[in-house]
Amino acid sequence: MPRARPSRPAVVTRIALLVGVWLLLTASTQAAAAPRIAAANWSSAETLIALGIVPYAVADIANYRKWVRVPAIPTETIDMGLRNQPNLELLAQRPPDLLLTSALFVRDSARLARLMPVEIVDNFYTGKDYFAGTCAMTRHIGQLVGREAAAEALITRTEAQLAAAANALADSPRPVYVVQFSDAQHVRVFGAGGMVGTLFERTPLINAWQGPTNGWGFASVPITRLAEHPEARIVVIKPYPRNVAAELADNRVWQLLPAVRAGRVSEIEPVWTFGGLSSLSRLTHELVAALHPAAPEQP
Amino acid sequence: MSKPSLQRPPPHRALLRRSPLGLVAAMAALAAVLGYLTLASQFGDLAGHWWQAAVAPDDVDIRQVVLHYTFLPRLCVALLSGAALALAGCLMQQVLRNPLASPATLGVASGAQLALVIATLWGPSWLLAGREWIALGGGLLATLVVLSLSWRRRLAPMVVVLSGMVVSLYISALNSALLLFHQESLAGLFIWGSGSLSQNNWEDTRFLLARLLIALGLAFILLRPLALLDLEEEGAKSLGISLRNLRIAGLGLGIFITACVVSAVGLIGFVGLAAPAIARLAGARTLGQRLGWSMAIGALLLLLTDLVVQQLSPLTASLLPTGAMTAALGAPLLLWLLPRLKLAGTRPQPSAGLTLPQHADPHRRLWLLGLLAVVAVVLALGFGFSLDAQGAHPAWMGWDQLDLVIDWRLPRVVTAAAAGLLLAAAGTLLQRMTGNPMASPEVLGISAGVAIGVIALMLLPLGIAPLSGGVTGFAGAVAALLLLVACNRRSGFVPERLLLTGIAITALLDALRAIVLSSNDPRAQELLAWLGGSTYYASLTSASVIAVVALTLFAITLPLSRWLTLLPLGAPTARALGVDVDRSRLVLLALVALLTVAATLVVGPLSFIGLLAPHMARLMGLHRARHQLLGAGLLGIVVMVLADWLGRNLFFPYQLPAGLIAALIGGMYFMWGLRKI
Repeated sequence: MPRARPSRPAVVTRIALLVGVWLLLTASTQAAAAPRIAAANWSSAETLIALGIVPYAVADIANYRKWVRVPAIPTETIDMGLRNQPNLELLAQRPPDLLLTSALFVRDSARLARLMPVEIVDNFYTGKDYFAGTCAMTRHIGQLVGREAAAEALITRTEAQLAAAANALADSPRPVYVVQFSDAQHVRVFGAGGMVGTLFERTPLINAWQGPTNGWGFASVPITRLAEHPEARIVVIKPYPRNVAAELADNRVWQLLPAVRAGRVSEIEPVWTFGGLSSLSRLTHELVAALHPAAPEQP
Repeated sequence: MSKPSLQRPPPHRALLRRSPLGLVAAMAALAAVLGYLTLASQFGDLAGHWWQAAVAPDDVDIRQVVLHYTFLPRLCVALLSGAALALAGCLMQQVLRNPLASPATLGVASGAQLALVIATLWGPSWLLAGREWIALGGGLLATLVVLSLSWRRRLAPMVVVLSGMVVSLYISALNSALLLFHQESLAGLFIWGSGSLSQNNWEDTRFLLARLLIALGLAFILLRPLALLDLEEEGAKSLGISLRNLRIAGLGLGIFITACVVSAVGLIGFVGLAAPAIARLAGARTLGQRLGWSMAIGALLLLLTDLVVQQLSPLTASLLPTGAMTAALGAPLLLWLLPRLKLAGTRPQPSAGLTLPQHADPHRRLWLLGLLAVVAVVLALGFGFSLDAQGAHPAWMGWDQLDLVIDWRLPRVVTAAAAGLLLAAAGTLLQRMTGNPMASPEVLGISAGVAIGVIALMLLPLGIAPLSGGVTGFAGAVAALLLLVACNRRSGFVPERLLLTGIAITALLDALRAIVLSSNDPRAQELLAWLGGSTYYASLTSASVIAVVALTLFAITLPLSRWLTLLPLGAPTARALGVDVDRSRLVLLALVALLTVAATLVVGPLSFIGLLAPHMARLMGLHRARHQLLGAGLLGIVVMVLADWLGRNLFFPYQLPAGLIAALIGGMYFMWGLRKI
């Protein structure tokens, strides 16, 4: 395979090109031309847009629109394929100035670095808890794209919103299950270690689910386990998987759950529970809206 | 109920005295103990009210509701499903005269799942009519395809099982492709797909009970004629039995009952394979005995598994699907059973095998295939999507973009070609060595061993630097190989036993895969892509390494054509002609393992090519060992390179794994070819 090895000049050219791109990137923080940033991970895409950057490319835009929703992806952003396998043929033809990828896909970053500077930004698997990790990720992205002030503002805004939520939820003594249905018999119940866990930490709200959770802060359990705390409320994060809403009508256990019998179930709009600060902010807003006006004052 | 006059040589006296009663009693006692423990641990607070909760629960006490609507129906559904699957497996094994036949072998289970996935994605309103009917329709449709493929051969057992396995693989490839793009929407189907027995009312119990009773009635009617299948085909024919009608009736019944179970609780495949085998080993002789004892064993097997799952589930954050667990627990059991399984009398008859005319001029065919391979490589390198101001559109690459082609397309094309070559060679060796057209590297379990190693790495915490997929994958392959040798050494590597060992290892991988996928772990997406066989991670270095490995191993294989010509004639003939049968089998086995490890590490364990390419070569009339090896190798290259090209460009910028596309293209051709046999 004589052609299978790149020639020495090609390698030199590539290194020179890489250095050039890097210089261009650092220079562009002063210059007017914004750097072209690609995001393989929805959390970094969401954060970029929240910081006022139009990403050059984002992975799996169709599913982003379904699961993350807000902030919306600008129309000029191109789709670069699946999240864990960004299309390299596409990126190679006009490499972005920077690719933001996630710790999950770190296995490939050495190879990607031949095309463009690659930064691993993640809010999970950082060794910090979710909120600290997400703030650090936001600052990191802010630095990378020269929007430190916007990043600080976003963090301050979220902190303030969490503080306000803590006040609003001060008089809700009932524990809450925050769940998302996977089918009519199973839910993801959220707990320590994720976005929902952060809300339980920073507000007086009590989590009814005290069991183990995985690295993303949820556990997959049958709905019967939602009966372990009969006094609890249930908050369901939409979307329901297709048809589950209808199937729940025939589900005897769901219908006889104390919370369902007493009408203590609320639904909130879809939120990407593995996302960044803007998703956290939406979750906080939705949760307060769902719980606060209805918080029942029973003994 | 026994028919001494119809029995073949009288069984050994010791065997006559053996009965599965002791085993069944022990299993029942264990189930009772475990059931009591589960009840005491989950519903200890209701102690004293258990009976009342079971019979007439107090709706206000949620604990009683849970016991009445989840715990009890779950017990019943486990017993009913286990019995039903055992009945289905027993019927299928009797009809097909093949101890490997099981509901999964006929594609019923994957057909049902595909129908549900399609309905969920594109016709959610159909589900309102009842998901079981859609599953039933899918299962029946898959079976009809299998039957129509084997119709010309009057449903000869081996052709039916072969068609069933191909259709099953084809459907699961389609399933994986859909899941790859819609994982977030289909999380629930993952759970169903891996067989969770969770219940929340008595619907499934009633549903299964009614159908099982009907099926039992029909099975009773069929019992006597089916028992005559124990005779050789000619003997049964001379007794005036319409074999075709009998087989259709027996198979139909098995499919019906399988589809009912699948639609109610999902895929629980292993019980249908294991229960009849255990019953036979434990001493059930006549068909009636085998049916009865299989059902008892199947029911208890599933119940025991489910009780263990219930004991374990509070300890973990992810769901443990019972169907996947039966496979995980069942695989070691099957390995233990293997040396005890009497396969001699049930070996597929070579006379019913596949014989085709040899092509007049194999050399011209080979040159044509070579030309085809060159065309495929040029197309895969040159044609793709180009990005301009308006976006990406399909175009040929210019010479000025040679850098880009070499950097990003060449590694993938080379890797795909090498994998195709490796798998085709491995498949040819296996099929020649075992004289069994169903053999493939996947069946041998080496791919599964590699995959288990890689999954184990993914499940370990991130950041363990010194370990890589290569290391753990290789460890898995070595473990699988050692297991193969350990289980088969004493029997001198009898082909069928070897394949069964491989299937047991593959069952373990399936279990792991299902558990990971249903755990809702976001990394499942990456796993799914790798299992589909993607060349995405190929680099120039890895591609050159794999190309050198592939060419070297292929060059080693070619001089072995003498063994490959003589071994299919059977061990005695080969021995008489001067072949050291045991040694040659061991060498070939080691070579197959090496070929498979190399291929699996780069494109994942979906090695449909290994089953396909040797077959396509034979359908093209390349019969002599050397010709078949070369033809299969070239075909493997063509199919894999085209598959990779399609996968990269069909849904640009989204990419489908090459292995998956290869299975889709290859499966279509294969089914078409199968019709002509």
